This record gives sequence, C-alpha cells and structure tokens, in this order.
Amino acid sequence: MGRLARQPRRRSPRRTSTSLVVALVLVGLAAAGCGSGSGTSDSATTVAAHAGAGIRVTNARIPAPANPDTAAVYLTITNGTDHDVVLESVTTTAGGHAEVHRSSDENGMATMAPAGPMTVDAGATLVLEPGGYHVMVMNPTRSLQVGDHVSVTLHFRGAQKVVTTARVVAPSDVVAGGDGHGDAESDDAHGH
Amino acid sequence: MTPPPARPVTRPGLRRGLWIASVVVIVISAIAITVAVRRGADDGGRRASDPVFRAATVMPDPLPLPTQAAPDTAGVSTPLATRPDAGHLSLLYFGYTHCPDVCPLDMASLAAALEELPEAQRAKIRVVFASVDPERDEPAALERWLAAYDPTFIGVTPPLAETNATLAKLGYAAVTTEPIPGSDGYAVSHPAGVYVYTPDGRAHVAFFGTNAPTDVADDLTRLLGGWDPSWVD
Repeated sequence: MGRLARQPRRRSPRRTSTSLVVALVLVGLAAAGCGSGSGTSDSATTVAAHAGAGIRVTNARIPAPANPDTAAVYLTITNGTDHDVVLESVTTTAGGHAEVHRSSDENGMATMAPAGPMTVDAGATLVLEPGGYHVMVMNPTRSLQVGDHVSVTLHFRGAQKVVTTARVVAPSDVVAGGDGHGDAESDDAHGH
Repeated sequence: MTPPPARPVTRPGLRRGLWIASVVVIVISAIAITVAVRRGADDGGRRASDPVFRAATVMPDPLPLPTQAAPDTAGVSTPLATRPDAGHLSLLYFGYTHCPDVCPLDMASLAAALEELPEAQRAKIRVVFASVDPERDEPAALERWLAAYDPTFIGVTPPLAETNATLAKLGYAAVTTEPIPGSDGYAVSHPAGVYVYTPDGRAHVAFFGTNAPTDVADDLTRLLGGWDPSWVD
C-alpha cells in the first residue's frame, strides 16, 4: 500500500523561528487547500467522507521526463464509496502505454514491476508517490514539458472510470512537494 | 488667577525616560542571553540523542571504494569513485535513463540539495552516475539526461559484467532485467542509494529515495568535514 502520510521533519533549535514561519505558512496552505477542496490527501479524505463522494483522484503530476521514452504519473486515489474498488488500468493522452507499477527495494536493489489490479478499500486513500506505486507511461508520443497538462483516466472494475488532469512539473517540485504541499496543482475528479 | 506653575517635567521626565529605556535594554539583554544560553544547552543536550544525519542512512557495513573505471560520456576512462581528498566527497549512483520513477527523482533530489550548498562546497563534491543499462544508455543520451539535473554529474557506461563484479564487491546482487509487459521495454534493477565516499575511502552513508534538499545539504556539509567514527557509536 502507498504510504498515507509523511512525518514532518524535525528541525534543529537554531531553525526554530524558520520552522515556525514554515509551519504557519503550511497551516495557511492547508487551510487554503481545505477551503478549495483541492488540498492534501487528508483533506480529500475528509471531503469525501462528508460528501459521500465517489472515487476522487487528486494531486496528479508528472515530473518532466529527462528521457522522452518514459514518464511517471503520481496521484492520490480516495475511495469515498462504501465499497472496495479495483483499479484495473490507466490510460493517458500522453500516448504510449500506461500501467501501474511499483518500485520496491530488495536487499538494497531497487526494482520495478507491474502492480496488477489494485484494490482501494472503502474509505481508504491510496497514494501513488515516488519510490512506490506510480503510473508508468512507456513511449509517450507527446513531448512532456513543464506546464503541460495530460488527461489521465483511471479505469475501475465495473466500467467505472475517473478522469483527472495531471500537470507536468519540474522533478525538483515533486521532490520538495511530494506530500502535495508543493507547486503541483491538482485537479479533482469524480466518478461517473 | 495665575496659571499653575509650569510643572518642571522636562528634565525629570527625560531622566525617567532614560531610566525606563535602560531597564528595558537590560531586561531585553537578559532575556536574550538567557534564551541564547538555554538554546545552547538544548543544542548540546539534544545532540547526544539526535540522529547525526537528517537524510542520510548509515550503512551497517561501509562500502569499500570500487576500483572500476569506465568510459564517461566523452569516452574518457573515468573511475566510478575516487578516494576524495580531505574536504572533498565522491558520490556514486547506479541507475539507468529509462528508469521512470526512482532514478529521475533521486537525481532531482540530489541536484536540488547540491544547489543549496555554497559554490565552494559544491565544487568539492564529485558525482558519478554509473549506468546499469549500457545497452540503451548511449553516451550522448546519458549526457543529455544528466544535464537535465546537473551538467556536472559524470555519466559512465561500464560493461555490465564489470559493474556486476563491482556490485559483488560492494555486497550487492547482480543487475537483473525484467521485461515490461505490453511494451518492448524492460526494467533494470540497481542499487538504491546515492553512496557517499569520504576521504577514508569508505562509503559509510547513503541517501535513499527523495529527501528534503536542505536536509541532504546539511548532511553533505557535515560529511565534507570527513567521517567521524564517533557518529556510529
């Protein structure tokens, strides 16, 4: 399963004031995110639970690939329904072949393999993020430059699909903002 | 009615103001000194229990220095890792450019961290990316790929058999390839870390995955001072 949350990193005493400012800014961002309904996975979970929403896909982003033959899409799936859902496949307007893969560590060696159909339990959130699950796009036919948008469709079992828009961002933005607080914008989508 | 005598406010008022100002200055100084002292105490107190590194992972068994050299993207034979001079570091990563998830973000994470460092420190850190996919990583393509992160990263494309021999010496399994269904591509396994060699000729720590650039930069700054065995007591 994807990791659901990141621990805030502890700062040294000499950075207390900086941390405080950063914390206040983050609180502000989080508040803004909740207000617009497009914030972190936490706020997405809350919204889904309250609204009884369907499957929501948020925070979709693609680090601009340095190798045009391969790209990865990261996103967050929140299952706001009262039943488990199974993600069977993914298609994108980037062209090529898309598939959910999982990176893992085997005795210090990084490996990657297709993840197969993925179940998201009722009420659960699955985070596709660096070093874990991701949608691998092989041989995209479109060039993917920072600022571009790619439509991503997640096909769930039972002919249900969810469409979201992934923004192509600088890889460093994914590194620094991997928890959704960074520059990466998310576009919410609901099941049909 | 005579107006009430003007109260002689000026001089005593000024005095009182000066007195109050002095007290304020003294109080503020006292607070500042107290805070500084307590902060120092906190710092000292925490250092003992804090992990030494913010992002780096200490390897249970430090890696020896590889002896392997391979052609860089200009075709010049280049050691994968050099024993760094005092005040320098040699960083080694094994990866491939068709890697969609791990390698690009590891490189982006490292590049972002190096940008945090002052140029004088940055210039003392050598970074080598050794391809585990010499089949597809043509020198020109590798150079372009690395330049997207940091043009000073050195790309080398050793024959896979030599890399596997090195990996065995470092304690890692040989590289394996796995076809990716539905495409003509394949995934390649590779050691997961950015290994940091210090002047003692060992990699005691590595960075795994993506980390906050400032955390990595702090760790690199610390490591630029050389490896301190007391860090792993």
